[in-house]
Amino acid sequence: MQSLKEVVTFSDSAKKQILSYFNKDVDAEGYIIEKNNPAEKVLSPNGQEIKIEEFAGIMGGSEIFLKSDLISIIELSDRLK
Amino acid sequence: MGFADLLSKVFGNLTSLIKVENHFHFNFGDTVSGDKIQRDEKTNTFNIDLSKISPSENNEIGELFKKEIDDKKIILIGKESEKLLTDFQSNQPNAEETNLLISLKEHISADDYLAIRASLFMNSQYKQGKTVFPLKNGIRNRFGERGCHISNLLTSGYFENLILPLLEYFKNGSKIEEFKPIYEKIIKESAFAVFVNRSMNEEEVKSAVINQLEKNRKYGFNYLNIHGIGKKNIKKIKDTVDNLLKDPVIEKEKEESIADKFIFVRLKLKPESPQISD
Repeated sequence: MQSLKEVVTFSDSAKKQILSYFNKDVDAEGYIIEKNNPAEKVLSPNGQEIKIEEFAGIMGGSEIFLKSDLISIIELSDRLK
Repeated sequence: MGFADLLSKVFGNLTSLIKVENHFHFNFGDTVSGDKIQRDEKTNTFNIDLSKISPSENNEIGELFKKEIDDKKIILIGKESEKLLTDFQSNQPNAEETNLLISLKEHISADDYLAIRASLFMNSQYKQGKTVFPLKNGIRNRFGERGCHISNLLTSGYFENLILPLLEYFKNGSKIEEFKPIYEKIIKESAFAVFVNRSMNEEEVKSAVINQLEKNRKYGFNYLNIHGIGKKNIKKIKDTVDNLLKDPVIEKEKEESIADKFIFVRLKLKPESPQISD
């Protein structure tokens, strides 16, 4: 399990730029999508589509994209134990 | 080599700054000064504004993030989410709550267990005077109305005072298979039920039942379940029901009691009945 030793944060203003580093973009409805395949939406670990305002971060293990809701944060906490 | 050292290779002028401090944090976002990099003395955070970096720095940062994420050396997380994460981790369940979680875990679904953990945290935040609407929304978005029912039951004390004692009763009587159907009934019908607790007197029970019956009727349900635990509550419910049955529009469809410890009563409104009299 990954520890919390190296946590790097970002503000809302940096979200799109950070997503671009991972070849992701945002569609007209605000969903995070694959830059190379805009029809493909990026999914959270439990299979939910992620809107830019719900985007909470990225962690290792095939680039897991996180949502900001309480349940996702609890699941993240469990992964980090 | 740590993230800070790798970052200082991208931004050469960071090297001298980071050597000063042992504990520091990096945040990618706006700087107050408008500079590319700014150190916040209060939080010992280096803020780096990605909109002000050069194209070559941008490429290097992108490669650095990808490599560090793939190698599981860092987690990139939004500031607000990091705050929620640390709040959650520092608000651990108390002894009673831990007992509740341990007792229920093997008898309920993983989703319900997660909803209960979330609700316990939400409750702790509420008691600290914090806004909980976004947290409740998060439970609803993942688990729908069932998540909300679980949350409402937990914050109203019904897990502690009804569901857990029910579980213990069935476990002790080696009838654990009977717990799940009753648990499901409580969860599914919670929005349309009345749970009687020791703080309610008979008048309050009667008032709660009448109000809920009327509410249920508006939603197209002509029935109501009343739940209670303990001898005093059982007597209160039975006396209240006897009183209510004097109203010709109300009839008792079902009454189940378990070892004089728990009671479920289903009341039904007769079709086309007018408003119930108080």
